[in-house]
Amino acid sequence: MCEVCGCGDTRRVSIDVHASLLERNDREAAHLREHFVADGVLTLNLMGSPGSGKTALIEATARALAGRWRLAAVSGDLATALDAERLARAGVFALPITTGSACHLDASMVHHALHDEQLQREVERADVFFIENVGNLVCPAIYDLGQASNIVVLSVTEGVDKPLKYPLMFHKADLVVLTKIDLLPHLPGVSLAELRANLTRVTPRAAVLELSSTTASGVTGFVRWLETARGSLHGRHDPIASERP
Amino acid sequence: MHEVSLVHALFDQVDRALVPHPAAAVLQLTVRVGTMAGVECDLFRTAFEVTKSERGYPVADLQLVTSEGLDLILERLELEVRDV
Repeated sequence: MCEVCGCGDTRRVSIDVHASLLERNDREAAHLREHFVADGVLTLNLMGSPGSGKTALIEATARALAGRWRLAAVSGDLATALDAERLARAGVFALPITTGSACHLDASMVHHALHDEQLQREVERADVFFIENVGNLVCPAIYDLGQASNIVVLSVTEGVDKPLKYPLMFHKADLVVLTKIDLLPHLPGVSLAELRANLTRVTPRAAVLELSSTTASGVTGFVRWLETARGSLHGRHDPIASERP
Repeated sequence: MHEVSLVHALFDQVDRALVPHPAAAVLQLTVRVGTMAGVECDLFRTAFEVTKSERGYPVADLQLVTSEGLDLILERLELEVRDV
């Protein structure tokens, strides 16, 4: 005991914690997932590089499903509401999530966006709710957002090596959508066979689709995938298994 | 750089773990990082060093242990506690 102030001696103590750094995010994501499942809405986390064609894919989906399905979306970007405005013009109810300096969306950002009453109503009535993540092939893969499936959008203009360079993103994918295939004639160094082989090395379980949002070639296949995935919400079908060879 | 977000999440866990030890000083944190966790260890260390004082742990040292898989786990804390 210290004779000056009466304080005790110090000692070193070790305590085991064993807690995930993502525990809070995962808890919030589980809460979101409960709501999405209860509402019967297929929620998809759409990830990919800036310019890979995430927004264009939602636009093409809206054109293909016009008058049949209701779509809702949030679009994550560091600045501007440009993507959400594009989607609104395509007939999709969409709100921006402006992240400032954050390079990814997390569950609390999606939760906060859903405090918007109109978005909440639209998501409850929607068939598909797209969470368009911030354009980035690294960070978004880490955070669960309560989605039913992860979709990674990869444009053929990005080259065939991206799956090998960013394995975590593709490892987490349930579906990989190869976009801008109308540009293949102008890309002599890009082989779809090589790209698919590289994908298989890092994500053997993911389905792979090829399409062009500009020409609509292949969009029907994506719509079929959505229909199957939506059916699986009600226990009818496994969307991933149905796409496996 | 998502490592900054993860370091804040780490200190949130430390805050919770210290509730039974309010007067303790944190000397060392041991964190397990999986090779597929999407975390760059050097960036994580940098984020830790620039954040620890503002989060109230100025003398804390970070020990990173790597493992296979997706782990991002606060394993253990070394504390200095004062007997009263």
